Amino acid sequence: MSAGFLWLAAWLLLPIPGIPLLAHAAFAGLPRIGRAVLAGAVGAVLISFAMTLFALAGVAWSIGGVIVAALVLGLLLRVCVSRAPSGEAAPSGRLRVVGVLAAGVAGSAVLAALLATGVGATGSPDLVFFWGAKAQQFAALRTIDAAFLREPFLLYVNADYPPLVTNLYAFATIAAGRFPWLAATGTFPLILAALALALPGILRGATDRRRASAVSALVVAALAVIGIRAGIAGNGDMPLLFFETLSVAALLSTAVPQPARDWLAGSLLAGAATTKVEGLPFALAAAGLALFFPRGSSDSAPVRAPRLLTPTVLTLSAWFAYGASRHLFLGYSRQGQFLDLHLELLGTVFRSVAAALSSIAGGLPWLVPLLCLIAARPRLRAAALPLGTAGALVAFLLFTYLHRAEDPRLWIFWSAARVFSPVAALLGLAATGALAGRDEARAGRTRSPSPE
Amino acid sequence: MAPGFALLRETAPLIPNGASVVARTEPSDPTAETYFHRFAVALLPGRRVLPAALYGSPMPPEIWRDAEYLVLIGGTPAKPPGLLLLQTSEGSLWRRGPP
Repeated sequence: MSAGFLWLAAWLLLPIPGIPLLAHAAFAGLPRIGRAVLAGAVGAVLISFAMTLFALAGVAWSIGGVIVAALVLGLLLRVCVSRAPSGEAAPSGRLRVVGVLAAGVAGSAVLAALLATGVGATGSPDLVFFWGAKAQQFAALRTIDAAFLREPFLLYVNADYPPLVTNLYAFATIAAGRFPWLAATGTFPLILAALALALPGILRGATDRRRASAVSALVVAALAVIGIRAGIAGNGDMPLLFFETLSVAALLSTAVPQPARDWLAGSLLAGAATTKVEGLPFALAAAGLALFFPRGSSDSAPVRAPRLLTPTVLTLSAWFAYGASRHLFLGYSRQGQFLDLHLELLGTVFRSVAAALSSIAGGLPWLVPLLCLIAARPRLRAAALPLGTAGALVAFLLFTYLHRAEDPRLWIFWSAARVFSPVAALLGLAATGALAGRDEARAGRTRSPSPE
Repeated sequence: MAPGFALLRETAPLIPNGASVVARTEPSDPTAETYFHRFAVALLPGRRVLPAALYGSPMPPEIWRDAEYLVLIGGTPAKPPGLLLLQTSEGSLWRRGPP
């Protein structure tokens, strides 16, 4: 078997540490395929966390050792949900024409991503420049290589970037024996496929089957177009989109009872926060909005906040502790001087972002979800979580772009489509929230005694 | 960029682990050399890759001139910079140092 297949096959080990959590009866309301994908997502976070802890402690990585350590962490996570009640399966309902069409759209989007990646049209330069370069170096040393990250000629590898992608790539590289560059680009269509398989089942706890399928197809198609046109194969963007989309979907869905839902969402938010820098403001915004706009949860915010944020705090603390202990970094590096905003560039930034987004299929991956959301006649409270998170992310990105004194046009040109891609997914998910809100209101009217 | 990427991949089996190497272009182009330095770091793991340029600016020769191996993307220089190990349509690989 070639190194590429072995490298991708190693990803099948990721669900093992996530199984103790997802095997709990609280997740019985989710389809099996959704539980398997979520086990992989949670397992990926736990394996990366274990690898960071190993590196911090100076223990060399091995496949068996990392999996056992991550499994122990998974069992601890299971203890946190041990008292959760069982989840109930959503009514099966017929898929009908809309559902079949939606499945076809999502399948076509994944196939397009696969074909485009197969012919080398979606590869990200950043895979070669730092994601892959760091991962193969770490795999060779069986730990995070502080000397490599400290090398003055290698500042462009971004030593402080969070560790999940490089850890998982190194994990697969240790299993395969070498880093296969082409196979690494395959993570884009494969993770997109995993998202397409899991999302409808999770969203069924937020709306009916047909609408869940339609919104899932919308999100998957939008992300496929952005990923193909912006060239994200092999970099951190697809894993980030995976964690972000699943975490918000989990928070919108009531299919999983508390506290299991919060611990699941919290683990997925930790995945986002340890994948890319912008995952941290995303996680904080999503968790905060979930506390202010709870869905199907009577637990108070002080009770829920630790469930949503503890995984992010622990995983990022381990990373920053590693950086501090090796005298590499104490936090994320900044773009320019903090709060030294160059407001004179505001117009340039807006125009450049608009140009960058419209360069991706005329901006349709953002416009179509927006039009669907408007057509869904949103109830703002029901859609507040995804819309508020999108707003917070947009504010963070604009805030970041305004920190450099130099002309930001080139920087925005090569980054905006990628970093604004979660907004497309969030607009789609907001349509689910809007629909659910209307349905809840309608159900409430139906239950209310009619006035005499 | 593709010819240099291809050449660097071809040179990998000929450059031993731990050796120092620099990727240059003929004629010198600091922007291209910046990219080839990054490609070399990725495609030649285990070697000490020295930069001929960083962020589009040429580096002082004392940083890279003692590299044991030279990957030269583009034409062949008039004066051989060492022992020729590989010649392709994309460029050449040279081992330098005492004969």
